[in-house]
Amino acid sequence: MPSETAAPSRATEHRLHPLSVGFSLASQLRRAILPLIIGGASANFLGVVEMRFVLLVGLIPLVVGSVVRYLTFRYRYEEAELVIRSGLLFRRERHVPYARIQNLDAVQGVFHRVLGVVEVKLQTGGGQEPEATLTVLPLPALEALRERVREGKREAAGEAAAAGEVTDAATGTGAGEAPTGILAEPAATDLASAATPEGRTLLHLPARELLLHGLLQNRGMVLIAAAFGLAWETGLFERASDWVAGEQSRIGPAVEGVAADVVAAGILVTVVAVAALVVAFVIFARMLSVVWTLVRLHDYRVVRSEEGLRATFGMLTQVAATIPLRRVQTVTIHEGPLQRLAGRVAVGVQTAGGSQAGQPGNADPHRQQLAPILPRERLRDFLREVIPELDAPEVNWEPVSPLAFRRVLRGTCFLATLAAVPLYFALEAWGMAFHAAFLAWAVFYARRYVDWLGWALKDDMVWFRSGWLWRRTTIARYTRIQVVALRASPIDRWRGMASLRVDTAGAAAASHKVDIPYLPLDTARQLRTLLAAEAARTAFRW
Amino acid sequence: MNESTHSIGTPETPEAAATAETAEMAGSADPAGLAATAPGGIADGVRRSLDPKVIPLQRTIGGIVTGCVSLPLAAAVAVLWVVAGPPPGVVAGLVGVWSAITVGLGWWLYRWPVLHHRYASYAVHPDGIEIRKGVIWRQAISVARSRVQHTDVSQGPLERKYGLGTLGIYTAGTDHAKVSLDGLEHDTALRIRDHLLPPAGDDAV
Repeated sequence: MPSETAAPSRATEHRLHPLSVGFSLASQLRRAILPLIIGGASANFLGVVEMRFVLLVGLIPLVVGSVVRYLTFRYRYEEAELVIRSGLLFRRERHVPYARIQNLDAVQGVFHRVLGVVEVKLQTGGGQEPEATLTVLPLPALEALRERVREGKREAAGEAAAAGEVTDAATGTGAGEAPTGILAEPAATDLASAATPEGRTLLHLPARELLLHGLLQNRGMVLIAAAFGLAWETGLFERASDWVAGEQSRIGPAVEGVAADVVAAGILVTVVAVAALVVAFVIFARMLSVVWTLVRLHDYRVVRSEEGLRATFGMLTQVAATIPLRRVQTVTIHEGPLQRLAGRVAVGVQTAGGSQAGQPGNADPHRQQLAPILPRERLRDFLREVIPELDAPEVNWEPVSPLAFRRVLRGTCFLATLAAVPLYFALEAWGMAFHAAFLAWAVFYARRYVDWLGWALKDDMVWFRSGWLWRRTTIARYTRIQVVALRASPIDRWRGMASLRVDTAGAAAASHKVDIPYLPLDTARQLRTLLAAEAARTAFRW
Repeated sequence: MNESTHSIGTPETPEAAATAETAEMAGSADPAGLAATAPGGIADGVRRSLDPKVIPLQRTIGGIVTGCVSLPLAAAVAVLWVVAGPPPGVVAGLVGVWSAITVGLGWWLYRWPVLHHRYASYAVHPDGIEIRKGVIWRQAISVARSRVQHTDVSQGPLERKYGLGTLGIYTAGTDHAKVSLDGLEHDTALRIRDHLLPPAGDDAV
C-alpha cells in the first residue's frame, strides 16, 4: 500500500482511529444516498438494471475511498507545526503551525461516544473551511493534540523560555498512546468528562436556565420548518396529505365537519377557535424549542483555562470548542424583548478562525453565542473574562445626529403607507383606520429606534448599539480595528451626516457590525481620525 | 458608572486639509490645496489627487463601452429595417432612440472621469494610508500600516499604455478586506506599496 512510502519524519507519525473508515463512509453515505436512490429508482423504472445493483455499484467507490483515506492519512507533531499527509494519487501535505490555530473543535455524536472516538476540526485564520478535519481520533489522541497546540502556542508566544523540555515530554506521551487502542481508557470515552480541564468555570447552565432559554428563543419554528422541508423532500408529505384528505380517509371529512360546525356557530366561535389553534401551535413550537435546547445545550459549560475559553455542551452530540482569548475580535451582546423581561442577555464572540457562524447545521452555534443565556447581573463578570481590558458594560451612550429621527421617520412612514395601499383597495374606508394605525406605529418605531442607536468610546474600545426590540451591542477593541471608513450617501451629504464603519476580522455576514449611521459629519470625521490613529498606534495580532 | 470616555475633540494625527474634507464630504465643489508632487518621501501625509492621465484612460474605456453598446444596437435597428420593413415613422423613432442612447452614454462616460478624478485623493502617512473616493457615494477609508496583510500593484493593458497602475491593499477585515486605489502613476503605486509593506520580522502572529 502507498502508506509505506518513506516519510522524512523526525517525529512519529500517527494514524486516525481505524473506525475512521466507518465514520467517513457514513458521512459520505449521508450525502450520496439520495442521488443513489433516485438514480437506482429511475434505472429500475426504465428497466435497465435492478435498484439493488445500482446501490451496490454506487457504494463501491465510497467504500474504497474511505479505506484509502484511512490508510493514507498521517499526522505528526513537528516542533512548531502539525503536519498532515493524505492522498493516494494526489498527495497532500499540510503544515499547520500551532501558533496559527484559531480554534480546536471536537464533536462527539452518540456513536462516537459509544466507541470512544471524536471528530476534531482545526481552524486557522484563512478561509471558511476548517483547515483540517480529523475524522476520527481516539480520545487520548485529542488530549495529546490539545497538549501540543497548547505547548506550541506557548513557545511561539515566547512566554516560556524553558518550554523545550516540557514539549519533549509531551511528545513522548503523545506518541505512545495515540494510534492504537479503541477503548484505551474506559473513563475517557466521554468527551465531557475527558475534556474537563483545569480552569475556572465561567458559566454553567443548569436545566432551569436551559428551559428558560428554550422558552425565550423561537427554535421551535425553525425545527418545524426543517421537519416540513424534510417531509416534502422524502415524499412523506404527500402520503400524509393523502392520509388526511385522500379518498378513503376518514380524518379529512371529520375535520371538515368540525370546521363547518364551528363556522356555522357564528363569527365569535370561529375567531375563538382559530385563536385557540394558533395558541396551541405556538405552545407546541415552544415546547419543541425547549426540548431541542435541553438536548442540544445539555450541561452547557464555559471554562476559562490556560488555552483560552472552552465551551462544552450536548446530550446526544457532544461538542467541545476552544476559543483562544486573543483570537476574539468583537463581542456582541444580544437582548430580545422576552429576554429583557426575564432579565437575561446572550453574549456572542466573533473570532477570525474561518468562522461559519451564521451557517446553520455547523457544530458551532456557540461561536455566535458563547453565553446563550446569562443573567444580566453576571454580564459584567463574564465580559471581563472575555475582554480583560473591559471595566464595566455600562457606558455613556452618545446619540446620533438630532436629524436622524426625521430621516428614519420618513422611511418608516413610506413603508407604512405602502403597506396600507392594498388595504384601501380591500377594505375601502376601513383602510384609513389601518393606515392611521400603521403611521402611529411608524412614528413610535422611528422614535424608539433612533433613541436606541448609540456609540461610545471607552476603555480603548468602540461600542455600538442598535435595534429596539432586538437590541444588539457590539464591542471592538482598538487593537482589533482593521479599516475605518467614513461613508456619505447623497442624502447624508444633504443633511450633513455620514456613517462610520469600523471593520474588524471575523465578522460573519449576519453578525452585528460596528457601522454607526446618521452621525453628524463633524463627529464622524473626528471619530474616523481618532480611530484610524489608534489602529495605527497599536499592532494587530491575530 | 466610572467613565473614561475619550474626548474626540482633537484629532491625534495632523490632517492636511481637514477643513477641505468637511467641505468635500458636505458636497461643495473642488477640494483645493492638493499637492502635485512630493519633494521627499511619499509618506508625508500630504493629500494628493490621482494622476490626471486617469481621465484620458477612463475616457478611452468609456469610448470602448459606448461602442460596444451602440454598434450592436445600430445593427439590430438595421436588421429590423431590412427584414421587417416597418413604416418610416417607426424607423425614425428607433434611430432617434439609438442616437439618444449613444450620445447620452458617450457624454456621460466622457464627463464622469473628470468628476471621479476631482473627488478621488489619497494621503500616505508614516503609519498608514487614507483614501477618498466616490462622486455620489463618498467614502474616506483609513488603513493603518500595521493592519496591512499584503499589497499588490496591477496594471492592465490600457493602464500600461498610460503608465498607470492600481494599488490593492489587503487587510484581515471583512467588508474592506481589499481596499483598492486606481489611477496612480505606476511608479507612485510601487512606492506606496513599498511603504505599506510591513517591516520584516514584524509578523508576530
